[in-house]
Amino acid sequence: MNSIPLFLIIIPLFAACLILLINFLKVNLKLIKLISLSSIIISLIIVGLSIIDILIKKETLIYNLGGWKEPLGICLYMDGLAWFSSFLGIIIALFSLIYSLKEKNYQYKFYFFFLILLAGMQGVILTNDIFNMFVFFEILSIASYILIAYSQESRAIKASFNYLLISGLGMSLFLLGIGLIYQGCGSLSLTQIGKTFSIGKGIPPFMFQLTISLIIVGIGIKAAFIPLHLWLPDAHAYAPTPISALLSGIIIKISFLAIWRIINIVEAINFQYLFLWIGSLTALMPVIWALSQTDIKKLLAYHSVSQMGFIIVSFGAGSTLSLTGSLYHLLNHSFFKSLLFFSMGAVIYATDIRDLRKLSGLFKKMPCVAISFLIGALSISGIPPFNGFVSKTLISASLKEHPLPFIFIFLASVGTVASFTKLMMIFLSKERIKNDNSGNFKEGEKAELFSNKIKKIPKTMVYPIVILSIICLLSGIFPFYIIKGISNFILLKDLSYSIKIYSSYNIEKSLFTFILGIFLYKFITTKYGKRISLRISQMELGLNNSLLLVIVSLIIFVIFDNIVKY
Amino acid sequence: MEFYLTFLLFLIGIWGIISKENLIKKIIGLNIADSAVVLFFILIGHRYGSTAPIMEKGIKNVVDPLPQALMLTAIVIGICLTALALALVLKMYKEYQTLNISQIEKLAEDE
Repeated sequence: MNSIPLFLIIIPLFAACLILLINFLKVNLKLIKLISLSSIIISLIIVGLSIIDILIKKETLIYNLGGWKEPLGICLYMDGLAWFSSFLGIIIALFSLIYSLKEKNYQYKFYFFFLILLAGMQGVILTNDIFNMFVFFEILSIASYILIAYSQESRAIKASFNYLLISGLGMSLFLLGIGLIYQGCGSLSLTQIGKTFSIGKGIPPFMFQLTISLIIVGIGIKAAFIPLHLWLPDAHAYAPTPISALLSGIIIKISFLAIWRIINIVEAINFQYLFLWIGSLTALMPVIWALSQTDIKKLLAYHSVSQMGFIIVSFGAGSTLSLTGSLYHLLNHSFFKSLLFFSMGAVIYATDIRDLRKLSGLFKKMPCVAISFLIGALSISGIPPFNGFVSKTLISASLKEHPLPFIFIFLASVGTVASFTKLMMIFLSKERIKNDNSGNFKEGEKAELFSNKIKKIPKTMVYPIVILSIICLLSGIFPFYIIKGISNFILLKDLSYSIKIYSSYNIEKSLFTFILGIFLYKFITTKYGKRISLRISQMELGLNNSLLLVIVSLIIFVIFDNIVKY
Repeated sequence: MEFYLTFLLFLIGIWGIISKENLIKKIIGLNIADSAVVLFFILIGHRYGSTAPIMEKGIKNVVDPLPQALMLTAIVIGICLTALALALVLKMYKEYQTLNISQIEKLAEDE
């Protein structure tokens, strides 16, 4: 049983190599699809088998690579948190792969890099050696740069290059941090670092602060919190749809969980307070940009950043309740965000249009996708009885002691409702709407566009969408098992604080949010609101500024502790 | 002293990444920053008067071999990253006919 972590990394890597070999034999693409699908299903079965050891017996699976034990060798660890994220990653990867099966543009290279991405992801989760974590992060990121640029369109390539440069800078900061850790405590294994690398054990406070900041900022670029998020909207919007779902659904969260683990291990509690503020800003700011977007996938990408803010702010609050809320929201967000990306991808597949002003009246054309999208949109807006409501309730209940972040989170929820109402209009509005000053086309042109051009969506695209929407509904109706499961088996703490999810106060609050959101949507559609949103959408910082912001945020992380003291 | 020089090299690299307009120069900056980190790691393991860690008879005073092994990996990763970045730059040059980042951003906005 102890070799389970190893298999989770090896199986996708092996399948990827097999795909490359098979490609030389010039066989059918079907065999390649079969190999990648079966490798992911095998990994899923293996993760399923380990549930007994990890969640029920509460053991940690340890595998020593090459037989070298802890301080010297590289170890693979699998505890509750690692199991959780590994399981989630494999599930989302399975759905993304099923979704991409019928797309004709995807050659063997796509499946090859997809599996490499999966292997890198599992490695980041499971390794217990910080340098090994760096290597797996680089594997993950190189695969994702290539996959983002897969369509070879100019804006996809530009987005990929921006991501590469920002993330490359971040990774060298991370490597510098690893060097400082090695200098400080002479070991790279996370367990050993936890024992020896702390202020109380001879590490100067400034050095400690600098090292942890370098590591957090380095990884944080992939976790995309403010102000490190500027690469994300382009990269996630112009990637192929299954990859957008995978990146938004799981990769940014894996990076955040890596930060989570490192902060827990070195017990840098003072950083949690900073994350409270960063998280609340991260929740609020991107919503403003999302409201002004016209590209449907870019709007979703901005919301990925915003929802990461919800996860980060409740991590910052630090109590058991808020950590449970954070993990629950992480779980929910992976499901509903991949659902939303899949359904928007289906819309783009069917119509070849990305601009939401040009899309309308799609409900009749694709009712299945529309209903699933509605479920996803209600989940992300936090409307009962869907899963987003439960985790947002947990998060706002845990923020009672911090009024300002609470207000930020509330405003972010209002903005989320408004921008998803805007997105929902592509399904709900009538086909022939009056031409306003937003588009350059004449009345009647729209209807003609749709009746002629709509393509049939293959079944492999519809199945993941429907299954994910059912998951969103079920995990909203039966939240208690998941809350108990997260707090008892993953965080290993008993959630003594009892909370009523479906109380009248919570439901009223979410209805209030909903009504405010509708009003905000009405405001955006007025002439004045349109002018504002046009102005906002033009305020995008370029590559140089986003690189500069990396350094600025590093400086903030290093000195904030002193600022708080005085 | 060596540590300060390495740090200076790192800062030069970061300055190159941030302030240069030319995409190739940005990549060169990234490489300089990476090399500075590599040098830093080698310096951590180094002690004056010690020799290479090849264990034969009579050799006692050796440097720490672990950072060197780590840096071999880091250098390989750096090469992959540089190759990919240059390939992307080539694609962008074919598209926009320029390497200047501000001009490229302006052209991309107009699309």
